[in-house]
Amino acid sequence: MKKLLSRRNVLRGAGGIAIALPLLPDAARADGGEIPKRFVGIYVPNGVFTPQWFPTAGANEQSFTLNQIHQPLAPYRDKMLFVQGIDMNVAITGTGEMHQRGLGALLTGAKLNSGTFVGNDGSSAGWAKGQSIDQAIAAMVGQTTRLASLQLGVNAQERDVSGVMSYAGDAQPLLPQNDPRVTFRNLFMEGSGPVLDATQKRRKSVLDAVLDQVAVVKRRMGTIDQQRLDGHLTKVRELERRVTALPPGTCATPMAPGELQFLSEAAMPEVAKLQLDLMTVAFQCDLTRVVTIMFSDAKNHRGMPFLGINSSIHNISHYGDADQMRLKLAERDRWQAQQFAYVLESLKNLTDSNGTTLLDNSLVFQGSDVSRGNVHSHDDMPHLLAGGAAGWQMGRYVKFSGQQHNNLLVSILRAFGGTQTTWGEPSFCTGTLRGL
Amino acid sequence: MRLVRSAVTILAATSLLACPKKPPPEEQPPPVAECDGAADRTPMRLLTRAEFDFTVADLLGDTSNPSRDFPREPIVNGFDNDAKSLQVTDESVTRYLEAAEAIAGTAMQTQRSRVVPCQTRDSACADQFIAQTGRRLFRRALTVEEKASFKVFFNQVLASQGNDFDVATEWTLQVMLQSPQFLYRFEEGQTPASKWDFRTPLIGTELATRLSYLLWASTPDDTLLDAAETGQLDDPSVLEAQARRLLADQRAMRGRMRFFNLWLRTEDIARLSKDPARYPNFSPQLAKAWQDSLDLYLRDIASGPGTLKALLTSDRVYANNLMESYVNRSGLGSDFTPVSMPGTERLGLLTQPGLLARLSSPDQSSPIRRGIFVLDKVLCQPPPPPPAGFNPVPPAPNTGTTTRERFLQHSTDPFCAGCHHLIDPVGFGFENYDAVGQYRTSENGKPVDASGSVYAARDEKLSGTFSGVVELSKKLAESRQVHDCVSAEWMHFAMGRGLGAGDACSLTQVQERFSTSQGRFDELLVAIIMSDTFRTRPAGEAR
Repeated sequence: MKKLLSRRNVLRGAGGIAIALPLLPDAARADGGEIPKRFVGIYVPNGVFTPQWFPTAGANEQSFTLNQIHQPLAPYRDKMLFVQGIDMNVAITGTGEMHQRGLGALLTGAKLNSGTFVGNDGSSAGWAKGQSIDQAIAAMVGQTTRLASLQLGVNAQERDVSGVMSYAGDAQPLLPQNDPRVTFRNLFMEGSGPVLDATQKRRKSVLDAVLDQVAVVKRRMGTIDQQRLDGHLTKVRELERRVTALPPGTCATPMAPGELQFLSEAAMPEVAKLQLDLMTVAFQCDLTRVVTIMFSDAKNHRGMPFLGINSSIHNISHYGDADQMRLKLAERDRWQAQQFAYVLESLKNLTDSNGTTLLDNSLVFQGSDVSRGNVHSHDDMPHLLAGGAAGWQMGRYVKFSGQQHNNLLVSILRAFGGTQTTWGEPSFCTGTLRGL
Repeated sequence: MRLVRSAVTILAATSLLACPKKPPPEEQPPPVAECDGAADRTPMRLLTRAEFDFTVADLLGDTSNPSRDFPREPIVNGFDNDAKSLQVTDESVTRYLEAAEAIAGTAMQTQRSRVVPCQTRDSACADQFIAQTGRRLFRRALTVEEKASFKVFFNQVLASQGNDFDVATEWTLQVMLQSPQFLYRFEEGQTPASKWDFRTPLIGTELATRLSYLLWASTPDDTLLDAAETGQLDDPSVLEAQARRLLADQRAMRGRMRFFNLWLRTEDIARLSKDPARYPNFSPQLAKAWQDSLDLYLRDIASGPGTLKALLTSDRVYANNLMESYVNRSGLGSDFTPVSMPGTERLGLLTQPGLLARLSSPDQSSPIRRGIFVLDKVLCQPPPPPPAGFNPVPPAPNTGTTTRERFLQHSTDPFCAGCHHLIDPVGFGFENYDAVGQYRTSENGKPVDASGSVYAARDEKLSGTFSGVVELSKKLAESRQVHDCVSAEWMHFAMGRGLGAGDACSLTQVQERFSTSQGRFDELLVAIIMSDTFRTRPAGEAR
């Protein structure tokens, strides 16, 4: 079974067609027999319509009822963990405005640098001050894959702190890639034979010479530039490793997506489908184990015409809960729930070498920059967790009280084998969450 | 930058004198506030996508826009060239590889004589190729070590690829195009004359590179490189002559337009969308027409009068058949035509349909965005941010009221009024234009009130009431504060970093020259180039 992905699968997504595969033997082999864990981080902007978002609690944690927005997730109810009472206190004060701070802290748990990025309200900020957990996870699980991590976007246009969720480190933003065509090229650029082909040999030779040039010029420069050149050197070395890596045996290169207007509002569903399908292929072929994906950005002054929403979602998020306009946000939330369901479905359709599904071996985390856009609050963050990688009992609705957001982040890191005892701004982290 | 801007202004106000020339003699404490004052150590600057493409087009004739899939630059203060934020990623080095392969392949097929300056296919010709093409791509003569390393590579390829000269050339070109010497603008500076010097002059080729990337968004040509390598740019009169030569070249339009487009954030316009229920005539084609129209307007100003006053008060609007209603014409074709408007409905940049539409919501005009734009981008006097924890709920557009009425809460609620008394009255002056930039005298059956006012501008002549954007634009066009603001913005763009106290003296001189020149953009650019900030870099960095 060489060709695992038909053109249809990649271009239109699996859409219910099970890509049931015999497994990902290479993934396990590369890790000495351990089944690797995967992480997916999803960003949804500007908070949610809370009255229809959190589940209705039952007699115990397991007996909750999904609210209207999350009906698309009904088939995965038992794979999901709803948490309430997680407060992103680190984002309540500091440089920048609430959306900037919330997105900056979502995976970093850090405050923002000062800077000149003008926020939605006119205040300004710089990049987030720390590494994001997806990058820390990539350092643990992503070192044998072609790409340590992937940052994807669906119309995430802002090119500043309002448009970034992943950080390699302090003020080192990793802007998401919005074009599925380029995502494809990031994943598949190698030859496909069992030995290095001529292209791979040439690239290795050329990149070796580029590395020589970096070394030559580095000797002449001052310390700041030397640090940058070290970073450049590392990136070229990693590129060389990627272009010379032999393709995983079970995985053939699928057809590339075609060109599309990937920044148009109307194309969002199509782009989302393509990006998520490419994410699935990347997992399937074990090209990466860590993906973050942003649906629009924190400014988000865009409509969603395919849902009949023609005014700015950001503005809509500001209306009072009783206002008819704000109901449109619930429609947006429901669309996001469909995307989330599609991620879970895609992961469930892939099988690891021991017969477990990728959903069993993944943790999917969705979050936002604020909890409720109309008050810009950071308490009760609308976090959604799914999958079995963390080893937490899923199918629950857990109500915490006043727990720090950063405690959840450090708990996720430990679930992936991290030894961290704190994450992000230290004064906003008191340790792991008990009761997950 | 906000803080820095005000710091610069304060300093600027107190030091209008010419700057002290030379640092003090040895063994004296360093000076603190001169033109050679300490400045941020800007890291080497990575080429932006636009710069990469123009460079490749100029050197190798490749106009295929090879950077189009490169990662987007972070935008800092509106600009895409922030030295600190521009860093390579896994993705960018991958794109560099692809681009280098494509560019080198095309160049060898279609532009071989540009790449290889000799007919023979021998070792001497390889040396010439490495020296000449290397010099153009690296914007300076290659060092002995660099030449030797490329020759070793060239010979290795030759040996492994059946002695094919062109293959070795193509692969070597691929290496050059991915080398840091090409991708970054390195600046070492001359050896400082004194250990007390905060700043040291750039080496000629480094200065030539700053010059051409500011004016052309591209690499120096051979003439400029020759002048640089013979030390002529150390002579201010030669430097100025070269600056004027570059400004007279067609390529200078790229540099001007890049600044305008980033400063005004025009690239967003073609992607705008509007509520079809309210604006049934809106279409993506119209949004594209707005952007094209504004682009033509800006080119018209830059190639014609070339002054800030003209930018703010030209009577022209470029329109085609999609934009007839904006210029009260009919029968226009699909090509754009400049239309001179009577100065009542529209006048200048601030009334261009594309800009007005960008500074609006999808479903209504936005006095807030328009007010903030004027304060921040035109006056460099941005309003303070709102207090933490506030909740901006824009009023829903409805059919019974005017925008002005809907935003009334800002002035009645003391919590909002603190800041919005600065913002909204400026934005209300734009109420003659709806969310698609269409002129209107009534809204929802009620007459539009387009009176506005500016509070507490640093330029006292700007403060006070005005009636509509036309009147506001005329006032702005005469204001020294507006001229100083554009000087600061363009200088920020030129340096790829925010300006600090160490730049205050240079900035003051630049602002003075721009104002004295009656706001001529090209004189502003020459003034920036001649400033100490532009011609020097921080000294004393450990090597």
